[in-house]
Amino acid sequence: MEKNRQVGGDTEAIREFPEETLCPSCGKFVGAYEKCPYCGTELKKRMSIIFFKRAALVLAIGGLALLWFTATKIKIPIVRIGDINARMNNAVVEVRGKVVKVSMTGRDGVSFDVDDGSEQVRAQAFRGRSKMRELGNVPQVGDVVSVVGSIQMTEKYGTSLMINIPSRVKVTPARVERIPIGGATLENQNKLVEVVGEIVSARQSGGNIFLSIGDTTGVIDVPLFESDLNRVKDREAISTIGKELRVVGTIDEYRGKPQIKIRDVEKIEVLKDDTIPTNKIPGYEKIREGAEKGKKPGASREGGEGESESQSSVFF
Amino acid sequence: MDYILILIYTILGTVIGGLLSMIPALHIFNVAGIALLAWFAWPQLIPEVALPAFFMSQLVAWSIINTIPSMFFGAPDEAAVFVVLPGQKYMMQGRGYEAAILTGVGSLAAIIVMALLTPFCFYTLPAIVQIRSQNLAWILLLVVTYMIMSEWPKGTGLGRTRWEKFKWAWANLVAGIGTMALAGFMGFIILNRTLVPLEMSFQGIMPVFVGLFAVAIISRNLVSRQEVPPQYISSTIDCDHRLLAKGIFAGTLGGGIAAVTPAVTGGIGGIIAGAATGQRDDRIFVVSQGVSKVVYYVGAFLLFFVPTLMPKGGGIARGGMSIILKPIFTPYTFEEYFQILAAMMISGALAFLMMFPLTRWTIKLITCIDYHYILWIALGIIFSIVWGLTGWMGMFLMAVGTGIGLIPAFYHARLSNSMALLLIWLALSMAGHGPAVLQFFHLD
Repeated sequence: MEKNRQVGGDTEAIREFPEETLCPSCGKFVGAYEKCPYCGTELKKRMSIIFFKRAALVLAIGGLALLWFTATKIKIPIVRIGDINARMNNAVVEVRGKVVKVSMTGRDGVSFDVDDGSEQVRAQAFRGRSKMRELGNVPQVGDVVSVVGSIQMTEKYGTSLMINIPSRVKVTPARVERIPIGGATLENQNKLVEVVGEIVSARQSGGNIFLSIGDTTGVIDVPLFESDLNRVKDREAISTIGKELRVVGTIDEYRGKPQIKIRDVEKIEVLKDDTIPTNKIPGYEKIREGAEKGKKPGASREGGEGESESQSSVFF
Repeated sequence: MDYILILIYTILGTVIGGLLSMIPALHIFNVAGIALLAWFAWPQLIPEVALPAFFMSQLVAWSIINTIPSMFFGAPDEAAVFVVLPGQKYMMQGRGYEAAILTGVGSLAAIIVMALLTPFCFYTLPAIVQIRSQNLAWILLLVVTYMIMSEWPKGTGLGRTRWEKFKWAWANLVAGIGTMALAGFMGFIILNRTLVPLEMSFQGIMPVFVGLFAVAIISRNLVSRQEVPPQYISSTIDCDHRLLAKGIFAGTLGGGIAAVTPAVTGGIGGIIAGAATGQRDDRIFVVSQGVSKVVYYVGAFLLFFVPTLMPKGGGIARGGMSIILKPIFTPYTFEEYFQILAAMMISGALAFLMMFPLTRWTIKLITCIDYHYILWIALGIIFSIVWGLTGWMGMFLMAVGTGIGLIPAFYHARLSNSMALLLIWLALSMAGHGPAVLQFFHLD
């Protein structure tokens, strides 16, 4: 390395710097700059630095463009829920399966459990419920869904699928079978059905409403819980004895008896026509007598925690 | 018996972490990922009761001792980027040993401060975390805005023509903002697509970080012809209690902001704290960066063990180590917190003592061997790890990250702008605009 002298002042200062890092005009140290910041002289740089500078730009911009193109073409992998393990944490994957449970969370969140036959996983979106409603892809129990999200695994909360994009949830609605109320038996538990029945009793307990609806083939209970009631369109009508309702729900079991678990309370339809002859509803008189006396008839039920007879009231 | 196991694995973790820290550009999160894979295969290697202490001690050792290769080989991680500049200045003056020990003093002070802040963590921090959670989008947007705005002012342009002056004045500004934009866009891609093999998703963004920081800076230093002058081994440091206190305060503030806020790393916390505290002295800066790095890395992991941070109990998973470990381990109790605090303190003390011989050894090494050879070896190790864990796609991600990381390196901009990789996506996602952005770029 040459010793470069800077002449000036009372003493000569000897500096040892590589020649290519000094300005050829004023001799000051300029490092990697292409133009001297002191005197403005253009500096001839070593090829390698200029090459790396250009290469950096090409690599960054070109590489990013290629990466973006690849990312738009790459298919999101579909995984079996049972195959998810800790090494897949943070992976963006797609799972497909049947919805077994749905909960509305927070102000705008939704979570649902998906079962693909191997295991279940909870898919959750902390925001986007309203967007999913707009898109019509809020899943219901029984629907088949395809969900894209990122796997989040913690030892505390287990495995969940975080949905960042509401439109990445694709819902295939479950097939609904229209059956008479008498066909809603425990042999058909978990089946998604549509029934039409006349309200034969409506009992309020706390914030919940317990309906019994019947047609000529039988009578069945339909509980409506407080958390869902604020979404009901016509609350008075659905608890008026004699009104006929069309409800969609899954056949559930409570204390050994079948009941209909409503799929979406917003979709309960109050029918205008009276198509069911009231006196042909099996056990109707007994139910009405029980309702008038304020007792709990055999066909009706208690529900909700902490309920007591003294808290119930009957609608007429 | 459990406590003896914890002590043994704390010491073991410190020694292993300390030695591995000497490999330039090898990040502790890479090491933790490999250690975790090894534990999955052979769980008898580390008893479950000692697992958190083992990883904590490795983290503490790395965050203290990694200053040495960062400074002497010029291969810092993002949190150490700012210590390199004054550190290398010290090195060119033959005071590299003193600079390393000054940083180490800051790191030791950070360990003590974190232990003393325990009551604050239990009683005040939960409220801060709640407020932060509800306003995270705004906080991150502010951080991004500050990072952009702090690029100004720059010096006036030099040149004969107006265009030359304009170009000169705006070149590194454009480089800084351009780095943010490119890194931000890359973040949209890698955080919404799994491009590495599915079984390695837990290290999915590792190749990008390696490219952005490690490979970029090593590449720049390989091109550099800088020679290291002889270093003097001093027995005292040029610092008094006042400067030390100022450095500790600034570093704790910067590291604390980074530890609590997602996507804000030690380097960004250091920028904010530096501006907030108006640091002028290089010594304060070097000390504060030592504090900041430890508070950020170790403090973030420590928050995982604070049982009062969440309304229903438990800590928060901040930082890479918590995210790596949370699928297999969740601390619940105060006892676990104090165990890990003890491991942190023991490891901190050991790591600080290890700094002295390791720094002397490093100085001897660089006077005997051209450090460029060491950088080539480090590059080879990094390439092997990335390729081994994530394959060719990981190498491609690393290459693109390197390209972006070289822009600030060669165009005199701030390397911390590369953290836009996480910052911008997280800010937009928290603000509810993530889906719209992804739809715009056809990434939905």
